[in-house]
Amino acid sequence: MRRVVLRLLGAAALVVATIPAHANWTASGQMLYQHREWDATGFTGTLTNLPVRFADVEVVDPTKAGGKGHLAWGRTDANGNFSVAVVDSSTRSKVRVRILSQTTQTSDLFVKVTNQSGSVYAGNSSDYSSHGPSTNVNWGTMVAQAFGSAEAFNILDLCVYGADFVKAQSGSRPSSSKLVTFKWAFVGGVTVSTTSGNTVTLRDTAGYDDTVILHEWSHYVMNNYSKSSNPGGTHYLSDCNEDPRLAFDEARASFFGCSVRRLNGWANSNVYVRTDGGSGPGHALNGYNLETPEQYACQGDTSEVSNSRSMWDIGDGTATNDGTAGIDDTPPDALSLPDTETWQVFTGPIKNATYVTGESFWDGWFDPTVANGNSAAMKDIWSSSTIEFFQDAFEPNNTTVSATLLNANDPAVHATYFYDANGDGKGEVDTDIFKFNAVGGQSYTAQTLNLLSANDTNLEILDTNGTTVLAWNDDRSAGDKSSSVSWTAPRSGAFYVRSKRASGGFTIYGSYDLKLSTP
Amino acid sequence: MVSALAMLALAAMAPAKPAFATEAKGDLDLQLRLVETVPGRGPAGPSMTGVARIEVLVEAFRATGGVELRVLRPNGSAWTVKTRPFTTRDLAWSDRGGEPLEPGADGPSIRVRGAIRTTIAVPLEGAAIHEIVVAVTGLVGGDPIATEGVVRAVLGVPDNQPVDDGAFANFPLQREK
Repeated sequence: MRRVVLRLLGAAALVVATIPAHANWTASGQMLYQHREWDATGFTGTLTNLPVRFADVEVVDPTKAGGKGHLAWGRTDANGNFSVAVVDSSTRSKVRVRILSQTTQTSDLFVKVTNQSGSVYAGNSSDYSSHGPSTNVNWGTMVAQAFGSAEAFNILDLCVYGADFVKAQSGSRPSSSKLVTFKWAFVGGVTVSTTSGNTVTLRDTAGYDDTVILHEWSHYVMNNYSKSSNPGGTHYLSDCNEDPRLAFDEARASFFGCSVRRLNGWANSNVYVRTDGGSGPGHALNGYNLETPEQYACQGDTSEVSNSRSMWDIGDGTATNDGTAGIDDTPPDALSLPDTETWQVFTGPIKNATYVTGESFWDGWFDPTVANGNSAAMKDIWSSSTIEFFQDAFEPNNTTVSATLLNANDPAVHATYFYDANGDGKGEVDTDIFKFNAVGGQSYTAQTLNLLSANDTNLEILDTNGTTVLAWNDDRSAGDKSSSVSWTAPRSGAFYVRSKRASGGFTIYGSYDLKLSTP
Repeated sequence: MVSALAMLALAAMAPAKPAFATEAKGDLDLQLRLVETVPGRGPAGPSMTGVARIEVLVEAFRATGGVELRVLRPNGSAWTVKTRPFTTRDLAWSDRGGEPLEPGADGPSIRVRGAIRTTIAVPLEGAAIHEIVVAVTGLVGGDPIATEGVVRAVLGVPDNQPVDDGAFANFPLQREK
């Protein structure tokens, strides 16, 4: 009997506990932040009020210290509106709401913006005085101001758009284990933005550098969903000879960040721009257009600009909001594919790469697990930056039997280290063999020139038997990874030049010119 | 005290060992850090004066000569003191490692992927949040190159920045008008 009573009491208690609590009053209003509009030249001088979306709202009694003042939690909606039910039967001298730069009240959103000390930004309403226990309060529309506070909500908003971009690719926003924290302060002493793991430390003057924010956010995404081999350090947009690991990872971050803007149809989605954060119009420091091949023009995959342009062009089409509606910008191509195509490369085969570079992306694109195809269009796009991850005209010249005939003093031939035995688009290590007919006693020089895509050549002169190495050269000189080998023919007859990638490095492909000459 | 602060600022701006990638730089890049704002001896109030000491680090991708600094207002006009344009003269430049540099006839130069640094003292007039634009110009192979940076120096007025109570960085929201 006692057990039955206890069970009944327990059941009754459960019913009471699950009845929704009755709210005594409602706190409502709308929260906006000032956004500085910009274009490729920097800020336009226009301030636009945008909604603070999905931010935490806390109703507090400001006369109570710390957590004792907490009355209720809520959140803003997609329009910045909030309506928070407060269970509180007390009469209070003051109540207020504060909007926080975090998203703990949205079950599938994990974003936090703090100052450099780790404190979350809190926009405080005015105090409502002498609040009775059943008085609803509407604070109206409140605005966070630029130059010190609104930037935190600009960062938060871009991260929310970013989370939704990830959801568009993967089906869900980043989970709680992927909480992203942006550390930013108007006077925080940070002069360069960086990302490490799930934490972005943003330059003081970058609170409205939307493309920089999304670039750094993209590093965080790739840290969580893909793989990076970026060695880090200082890098320059002008540099055509970046480490291929850095060039790809930085390119991917710019491309991916701009893709968020493109998916949302925002203006200037094709532009990456940094500013000095100064007030008023202008203040652009540097940046580039992902659709203009002339700016920061480089050849090969050792440029972050070239790599990002190539990836961008996969999804770029006539509908891109880039100021040239109706035109698929240079180079015109047949591709205007959804971002899921690149996403599955980032989150699939790239994770298995030893070193993540542009080659990893190319091979991942054609990996059987992804099989994105479109080989001809991909070649067109990549070729526009002379990124040649495909066979040259002489393949298969991997053996002396299939060697390409080379004549001394002919113009240099252009070749690539890339072999695709099964024709699936994905490459393999390649050796190029060229045959030449030598005259006994004549000196010959074989050399590689114009190396691209972090290429590092090695040249060997082979005897008529195709196996005996008569002369060879790896690096032409210290700091020059091209090769030059001079040799005098011991007799007249057929000999071979074997050209292959030198050992080491982070890549296996690359372009080069080969020339055979006599003095 | 000032030199100790300057040393701290120098240390803070010294290129750190790369642990992760930083923002991409342009051919000429400028990093500014406000070392301190020193009020003048005059009375506080709207007419007060002071000096902002700013650490300047200039980095270049290409060999850059004839480096010059100018101090501007955000609208691009010259920084003025008692209505006269303020100029930075006789700056003591050092290299990335802190070794003093001998300026060339046309000003200091920066080697490929190099950096030079100096500290400037910018006079401030009036109690305000002063937005100081530092512009740097140079020559790369005879072609001009330029960039700029911004710092803000607060003199005699509240800085209008969020107040950190240890958990939250609080600031007031404005009612929309």
